[in-house]
Formats: sequence, structure tokens, C-alpha cells
Amino acid sequence: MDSLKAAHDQEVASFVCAFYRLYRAKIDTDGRVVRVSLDDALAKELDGQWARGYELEFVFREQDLRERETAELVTLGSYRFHYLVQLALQKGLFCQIALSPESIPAQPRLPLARPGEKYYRLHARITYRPSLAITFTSAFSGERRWEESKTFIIDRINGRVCELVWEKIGGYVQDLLPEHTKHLKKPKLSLKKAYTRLEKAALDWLLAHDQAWTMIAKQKLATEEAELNEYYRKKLQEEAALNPEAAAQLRQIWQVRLKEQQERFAPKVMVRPVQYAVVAVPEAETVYLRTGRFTETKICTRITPFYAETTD
Amino acid sequence: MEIIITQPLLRGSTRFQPGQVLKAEDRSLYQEAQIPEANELSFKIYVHKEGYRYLRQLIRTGSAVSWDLFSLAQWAYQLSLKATEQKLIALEHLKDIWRRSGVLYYQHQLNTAYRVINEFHGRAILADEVGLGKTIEAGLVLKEYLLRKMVRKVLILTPASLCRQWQQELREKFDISAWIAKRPWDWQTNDLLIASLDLAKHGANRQAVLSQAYDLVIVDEAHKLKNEHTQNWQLVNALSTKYLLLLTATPVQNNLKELYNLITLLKPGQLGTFREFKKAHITSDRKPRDSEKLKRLLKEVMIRNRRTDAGINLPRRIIRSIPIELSEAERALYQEITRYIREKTRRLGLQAGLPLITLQREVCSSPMAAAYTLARMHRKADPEDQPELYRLLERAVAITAPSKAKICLELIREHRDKVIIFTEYRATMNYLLQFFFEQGYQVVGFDGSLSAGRKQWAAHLFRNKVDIMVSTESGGEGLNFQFCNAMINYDLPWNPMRLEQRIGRIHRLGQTRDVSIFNLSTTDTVEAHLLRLLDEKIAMFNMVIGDIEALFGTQGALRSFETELYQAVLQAENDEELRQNFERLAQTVREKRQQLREEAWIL
Repeated sequence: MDSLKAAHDQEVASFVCAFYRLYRAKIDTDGRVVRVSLDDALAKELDGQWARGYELEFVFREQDLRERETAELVTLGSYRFHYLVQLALQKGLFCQIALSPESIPAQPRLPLARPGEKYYRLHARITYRPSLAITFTSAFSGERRWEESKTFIIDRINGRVCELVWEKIGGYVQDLLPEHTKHLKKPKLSLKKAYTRLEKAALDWLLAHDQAWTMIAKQKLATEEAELNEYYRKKLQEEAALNPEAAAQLRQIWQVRLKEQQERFAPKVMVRPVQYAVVAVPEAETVYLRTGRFTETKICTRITPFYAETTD
Repeated sequence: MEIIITQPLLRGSTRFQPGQVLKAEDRSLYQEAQIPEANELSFKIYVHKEGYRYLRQLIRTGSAVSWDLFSLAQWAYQLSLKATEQKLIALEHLKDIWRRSGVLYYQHQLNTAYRVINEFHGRAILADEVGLGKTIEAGLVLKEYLLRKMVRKVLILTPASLCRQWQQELREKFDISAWIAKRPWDWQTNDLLIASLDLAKHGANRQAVLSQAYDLVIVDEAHKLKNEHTQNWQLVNALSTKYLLLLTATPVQNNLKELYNLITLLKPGQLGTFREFKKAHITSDRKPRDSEKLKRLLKEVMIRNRRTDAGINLPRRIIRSIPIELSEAERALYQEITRYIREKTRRLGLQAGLPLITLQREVCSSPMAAAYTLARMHRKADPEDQPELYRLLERAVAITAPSKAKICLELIREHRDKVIIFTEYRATMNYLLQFFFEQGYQVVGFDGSLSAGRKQWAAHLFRNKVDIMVSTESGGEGLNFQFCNAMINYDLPWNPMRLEQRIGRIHRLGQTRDVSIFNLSTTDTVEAHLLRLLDEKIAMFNMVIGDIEALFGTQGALRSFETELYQAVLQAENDEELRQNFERLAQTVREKRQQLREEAWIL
């Protein structure tokens, strides 16, 4: 547990420093204390137009407060952490990027159907396929609530959807430049269609998700509803002499209470996009001539970081 | 669910501004996903309606950021998911703010917040004894739900006098901005509202309140919901809310039906119908048939922390009563004023005498306080009264060195540490400020006329720079001075709750040293009788705060105690009668206290 906390503290410290470094704030580290200076321009950028430059002093472990009592303790979930997370999310909503050709895996060995067959490479080129990546978060709520996220990428030419793990391709990302757009193919799929297919992929993932959690929530809901129904049925019986208006009111309150239980325990998932990226995905297109004893065929291979295909 | 808008966006008639954060799960932004092939789906899926529009807008407006910023946001999101794995995010969120602003929290408060969320699923009665921090517990639950994005629309119902206090506490202790409802449209336009029960239950406001569905409703002083025939109870019963917290230190005040009504609001059926409840649990109004069985049922919906269970052992209170002999001139003034009051009461009746009692109390405090009132009375008096009042005023003004101030100075010299002095009267406060200043002390005053900022500044000065604070009653509420361990009651309030509030400023959670309380009382005056009543007859200074609240609080069994004191003084023709009247009052207090103890089976 302690080692987990230490790892979290370390990660939070790295995140905070990375955040301010990215915004070109002046950072000064003195042992376990980190000092950050924001000038007027940066304060305005981060905190709004009325903000003025200021200095902050952080520590990331409770025991370091002994060294510097006036410093702010930043931990996983602390106020400052929350504030920086919100800012980062707010600022990093959308990007346009290209993946470098190095992200393309090596050409797989081409299959030889008969002895004596040979391949001759006729020509090869690198083009870019217009793609759209969206990270969706799913908030699961029933007896408790938690969130999970998944990123999917769609090829806007052939509509192929894949799951994307940013960490795997992070090292190959470049800002989208004219040299990329020059070789960018024309999309066949509209933005709206691409979005809809990605949303569907997120829903399919949810449908395949383990649904054991819904059982606990449903059980709890059923118990609560049964208790309520029993109470109100008896109450209506007991108070049969009630005037119709009062009885109607009681039925109305009964419905309100039932709805509240639905709100509390009914299992549901709310899906929303949190980050969007327009991605130029490199494609290595190679045309081969396959020669056999009596035949010659042209074969085209297309390899991207996400899939490979071969067509005659 | 938080959506951060980066560009102005018009949806319906609402304009969202860049950077605006929409709080949790704004349902209107979602629609149920249609998945035809999944007939047997055991849960509902809602998808965000505006996702595509945001994307299109981001592309059109060229709002792309660098990969570095984009990947930082990914990292931030993954870290925020890790943060939600903690038991109480709210604690982690607030810990450093509380450390720096000196807010103290206790394990029982954290446990309560955790249990409310995880065991009670957001519907509970918080019935801690007074002073154990029910507001902190409710605030923690609210903050936790907000951080976990489980609530958006929140309503806090309190007595009108506590609205501002709630607003301030939420802002200062929980970094939550709440709006105090005043108009019917406030209920629609604000997600986090504080409203007085009285305002919410009437007319157009009632309609507006009931037209909304809430995620969380908190009702403070929930004992006001004890009667199902009242508008209070009916309003809360008609509200639609996912989570409900009822806060009260006294869930049972008169009879078990009150308790039944409270629990039925929270969880109908927990105690059955009232007929079933009566048959199973009630023998008389106050006694349950099987208290253990009932307690078990209550524990499923109610959390009550007691001082003893919470492991809170405050340091000792050392009470010292200091009798003060009045000087000849002061004694003469006191006697003349007493004679004047008795004569007036005899002539004009008890009602006319009531305001004059203040004058008698002021003389006990300081001649300056009496002089101030006498001057005012003189200006407004009938011509035949004016000479008498003028004579009294002259006598009061002639006294320049009150005996009390001298003794007070000796006590301060003896204590050699920070001291807070409480007085009922601003004129006395001003005199004391001048007096101590002349004696070479650094001193700060604190009274109700100060703005909130100046009050904070005065508190800061007392904490960091000066040794003496002289405060009127306004200092008795809200601010905490645990760094000081001595208090001088320069005069005594007639309401024991107010006296307890004074003491509570220094004798509270966070105090580490024994606390000295000096009560100054002028001998052979009404003040001496009062002190004897409070200290010796009913042992008020040794009562626990829960008992005092139950007896003398706004809902207490002896809430008219102050009025009865006034009557005891006015009805007495002489000192002996006054002594007997006070003895009778003491007897009433003792009896009520015993009765409350017998009925406290549930607590």
C-alpha cells in the first residue's frame, strides 16, 4: 500500500512539473520542494484574464511538509491536482497529428504458393490515410459509480475501426505538417459517419463488457422496490377511508419514491467523447510482380500501423 | 459527467462559454442508445448528444493543440481515474486546504461520510451530538458526490438564520459555491441552492421547489420535520431526490411518532406503517416495547456519534468565580437603579419593567454601559421622568474607575498569556479597550458592527499579534480561538446557550491545554444570583454541550429560560424573594434535565 502511494506521489510530482514545464513556467527544484513562478501572461492564460503572476511552492509527500510548512501539499486527488487535471483536460481536447512512417511495422514475408515463385518490387510509396480517433469514457453507475475509457480510430477511406492505445504509438506522433497533407488521401467517409461508427464501436465494447456489476445493482434495486411497494400497499389498505384525493396523492408519492430508487440503483452507463484527434496514418503501399513458371501477377500490399492487407 | 466547452456553443436558449464546466450528468445532453440487437441488455446506455457537434466545431474553429498538450490531457485523465479509487476523494481534495486554514477534522466524521456513501447509499439521518461536526460530515458527503460526479442538482434546506452560515462554511471549508434562494426562479437557474424551509414551503416557491428533481437534498435541523401534518414535513416528503441527508442532534424530542415520521421521510417502510410500528414498538409515547430491536432498525438509517464514542476528550474546564465588591459610588448607583426599576414595575406593570432590567444588568457590567442607556432614555423620557434619569446619568458618569476593570487587569497580569474577554455591551467593550491600552497592553476589539473582512483581520491580529481580545456577543459565534486558553466573562449573558457559545470559542476540538474560565460577578447584585444559579445550582459549566442544547437551545425543553429569569427578577420585591425565585428556576432545570436523561434511551 505504501509503495503504491509512493508511486502515486512520484507520478503526481512528474505530472505537475510536466504541466508547468509545458507552459514554460519557471520551475525551481530544491530537494523535495518545487517552486513554480508564473508571469502575468501565463497566469492570464491559465487562470483567466484578471489573473496576475504568482509563485507557488509544492511538496508531494506529507512528511516533506516538515521541511517547508508553508508549501502546498499536492497529492493524487488534492485540490491543486484536481485543478491542474481540469486545466489539462480543458486545454487538450483536440489535436491534428500525423504518425511517422517508422510506426509502420515491417513488411511481413510474402507467401510463396509454388516452388520457383518470385516477387519483384515494382514500386513503393508512403501515403497518409485520413483517420479520426476519439477517446470515449463510460461512466458505469448502479450500486456504485466508476469510469473507464477506450480510444478507437477509424480509417475514413475504408471505414475500418480499430482500438487505439496511445502509449503504443506515442513515440511516432508528429504535428500535422504540409508534407503530410500533400500525401493525404481523400476521405470517402463523411465526418459524421466516421463519428457514428466510432460511437458504435464504443457501444459494442460496452456490450461485450463483463456485466456482473449489473446483477448487484439490480438485486439492490429489487429489494428496495419490494419494501416500498409493500409499505404503500399496506398504507393504502389501512387508509381505505381516505378521500380519493388523499389516496391519489399517496399513489403519486409512491411513484416518486420508486423513481428515486431507479435513480439510485438502476444500472446504466453514460458514454461521452472526451478527446478527439484527426490523425494522418501512414500507409506503405508496395506493388509487387509475382512470377511463376507460366504466370505473372501484380500484388499490392498496404501496411499501416493498425492493419496490413494484400490485394491482387 | 463533465464536458468542457472550448468554444461558445448555443444549445436551446442556453449559451455555454469557453471553459465552462458542466457539472455531473446533465441528463438533457444524453439520449438513450438504440441497440436493436441487444434485447436482453441488463442495463441502459446513454450516449452524449453533442459529441459530433463539438468535434465539428473544434475542426471548424481550428482549435487543435499540440500533441504535448493533448497527451498531457490523456495523462491527466488517467491520473484522475486513479484518484477515484481512493476511499474518500473529498478528504484528499480538502486535506491541504484544511491544514492551511486550520480546519480540524476527526476520524468519526470521515467514517460517517464514508458510511453514508457506501452503506447507506446516500440516504441517512446524521444525528451526532451537538458540536461533533454534522455540517462537516454533510459537507464531506456533498463534496465526495460532486467530485465523483454523482450529483448535480443539490438543495440544502435550513432555518433562515443558518443560510449564510451554510453558504460560508461550504465556501470556506469545502470550496463549494452555493446560492441562497430568494426568488422562485432561483430553483431553476442554480444547481447548488441553500434555502430556508420557511421560504421553500410557501406559495410560488413551493411550486418551484417541487418542480425540480434533485440529486441530493440536505435538511439541517431536521427535527423540524417531526410532524407529518406540518407543511415542513409535507414539502420534504413531496420532493423528488436521489439522496437525502437529515441532520439533527435530537431525533426524538417528545414522542416516538416524531422519530417514525422522520424515518418515513427517509425510507418509507423501514418501520412499517404507523399502525404496525405502534403495535410492535410503542408502549407509551416515549417508551419503546423493545428498545434493542428498535435500535437495530434505526442503525440501518441513522448514524449517531457521541462524544464518548468519538474518542474526543476535551481538556478540562477550570471555572473560577471572582466576586467583586462594588465601590461605594457603584453600589449607590446599582441600588438607585434597582429602586427605580421596582418602582416603575409596580406602577406600570411587568411589561414596562422588562426593558429596564437591561439597565440593571448594565450597571453590573460597567457604569459606562449604564450611562449610555440612561442618556438614551433621558432623551426619550416623559418630562416628569427626566430629572430622575438625569440624576442617575450624572452618578454613572462620575464613576471613572470601575472595580471590575481593576480585578480584570489583575487576572490578565496573573495569566501572562492570551486572554479573551467577553461582555454583553459595546460601551463596556470600548471602555475596556481604552483601559487596557492605557495600561500598556496591545488589545483588539471584536463586535457585530465589524464587516466580515475586519472580523477576519481582528481574529488574525489576536492570533498573531495582540494578547487581549475584547469581544461582544457577536464574537461568541462562528470564529474559533483554540490558540487561547483563558476567557474572562466580564458579565454574564442570561441565556445559557450564549454562555456556552462563548466558552465554545476556546474550549473546542483542537484545544490542547486546560481552559480557564473566569466569571466576574458583582456581589449582592442580580449578577451574583445568576452566577450562583448557573454555577452552583444547575452546574451549567460542567454540563456537556448536548445537554445544554437539549435544555436551552432553540428547540430545547427550557427555551424560554431567559424570559423566566427576567420575570423572576421583576417579580421579586426584595433580595430574599429574588433568591427564592431563582431557587425555583433551578429546581425546574434540574427536573427537566432528569426527564431528558430518562428519555435518552435512544441516544
